Amino acid sequence: MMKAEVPVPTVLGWRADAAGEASGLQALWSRVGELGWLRPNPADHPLVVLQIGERGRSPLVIRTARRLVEFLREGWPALAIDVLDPVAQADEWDGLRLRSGGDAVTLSGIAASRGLAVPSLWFTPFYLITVAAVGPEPVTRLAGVLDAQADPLRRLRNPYAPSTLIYEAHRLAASDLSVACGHARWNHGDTERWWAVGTDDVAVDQVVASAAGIDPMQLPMLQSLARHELVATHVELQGSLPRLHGYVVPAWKARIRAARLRVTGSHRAVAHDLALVRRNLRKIPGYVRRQLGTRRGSQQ
Amino acid sequence: MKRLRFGVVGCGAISTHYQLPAVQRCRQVELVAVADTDLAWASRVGRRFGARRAVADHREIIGLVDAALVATPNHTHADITCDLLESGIHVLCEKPMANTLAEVERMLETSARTGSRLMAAHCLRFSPNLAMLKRVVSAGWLGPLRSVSGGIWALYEAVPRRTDFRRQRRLSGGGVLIDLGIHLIDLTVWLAGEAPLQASYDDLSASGWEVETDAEVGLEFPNGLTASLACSYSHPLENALTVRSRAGWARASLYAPTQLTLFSEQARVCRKSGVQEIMLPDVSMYERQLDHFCRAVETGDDFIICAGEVRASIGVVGQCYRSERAAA
Repeated sequence: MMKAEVPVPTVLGWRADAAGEASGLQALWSRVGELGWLRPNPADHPLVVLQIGERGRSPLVIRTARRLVEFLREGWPALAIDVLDPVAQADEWDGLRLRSGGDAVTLSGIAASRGLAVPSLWFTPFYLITVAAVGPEPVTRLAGVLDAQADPLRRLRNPYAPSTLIYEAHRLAASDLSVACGHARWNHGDTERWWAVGTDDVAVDQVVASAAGIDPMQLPMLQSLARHELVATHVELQGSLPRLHGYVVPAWKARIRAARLRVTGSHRAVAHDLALVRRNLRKIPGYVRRQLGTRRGSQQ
Repeated sequence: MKRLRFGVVGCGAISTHYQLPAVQRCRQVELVAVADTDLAWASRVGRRFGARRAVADHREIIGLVDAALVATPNHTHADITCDLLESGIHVLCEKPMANTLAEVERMLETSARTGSRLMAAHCLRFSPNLAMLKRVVSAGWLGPLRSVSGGIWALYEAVPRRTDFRRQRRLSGGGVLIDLGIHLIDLTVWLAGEAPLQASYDDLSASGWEVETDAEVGLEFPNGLTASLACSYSHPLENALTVRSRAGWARASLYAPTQLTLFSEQARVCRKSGVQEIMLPDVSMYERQLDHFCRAVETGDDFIICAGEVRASIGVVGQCYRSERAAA
């Protein structure tokens, strides 16, 4: 019998205390370069887009992204780097172009059955790096890189459950390099800093979930994703991550919140279907007139 | 925005089935008059669509309207349009704008001289999926185009019509090429962004027809793009337009305006998930066309359908018919 094999992805775990953060980041990006993870070479792309996760966007995220930009600039001085950070201040990314995802184009989705609005930027070629702060999330229990990738879809007001948006964003615009970061204790800036970096967006969140003390497959977003594609059951962690505290919302709370969302979603779906029915009914008189006209024409 | 007083000249099937319903729904116009040589029919149509006046001669709407749609048999387009333009009426003229390039030039010259605006009604340009296709091509999501292929057909007997002028070359200027094929030629010229250098042509006429019922056109453009287009009154064709580049392709149905299928190696959305279906709003192309016409008349902006493109399309049709006559 054939056995489906999923390659074992690798994630780099990195830690530093407050004093060693700057040098730690420098060493982290050098290591990422050594591992060959900036492949395909970002310089082969017309543009590098640095996407900053909106949820829990913290000073650590910004510092992490800035050091990465410096590293990229040293390696590829001519590189065009744009920042996708909708909540940034105008002068926050000095020297870099702040951009939006562009206007919306609606695609036929897989999990998003009624169509999915995506930014027009996604139709162009670019090298995508996502830097996201990890934190608890009321429905998906834990928000990391996968959640940050779905930010552009949320901005376009797609009326779907978080897990649906996370899967669609992963399917359509997975990052070339995923960077998750935080402090050992969630929302405690004085505790140890940590980073998880990889070329596989799912694996990065899996490693973070494990460090937070939960089996990754208990996360609703990964359960939802596993309905559509094979998810690695083992991820190789190079380096280490601290034990993470306060990052995961309890399962019972997430279930209640998800149930509420389902009720709201059902109302929305009914309203959407009614609008379609109304529109189709309006077409019937014109159709009948055309058919009658055709018959009369052929009888003449 | 002031509503344009609007008239419709010619109350055949295109008007009663498509254009007049769009006029009724358009907030920028007020239907004032309809004209048809069959006055009794014009009166019936006028009553149905709420026109204040029904007249037998297009000249009777002069002074009553600010703008008009000309949807009469092809051979009358040039004279009627020029009469209206001379009287200060802006004209939306059904495709083909005229049967010959000389007539097109006369119409364009009259428009330029009088300042009255003139737009050819190539409705498919306003179909949501074909407008999106133009955007896909212009934005470079596929890279430079290499080829365009398309087919359009409609069983003649099943097409709504009030008169049979399309069968007579004197009235229609040609057969399926000038009636349906011109849609594909216009779209190709629009997507290419320039006029073709060369056209090759072949056709067939079913028995009992004095014009062609099946036609194939090959086009070569200065930028290296080639096009292969087919049209028919008798044989099923795909009713779609497909563009191809080195990096991908896109396909738009001509009659299902809400979908565009696309694959591009460069597009991030296709990298992992392959071919994508773009979903578009179900909006009437006739309504969009009329909205665009009215807005451009009001603001003085350029029309989407420009004079050079109309010249190129009618020029290709003329070249095809000349080559066929020469071969015969």
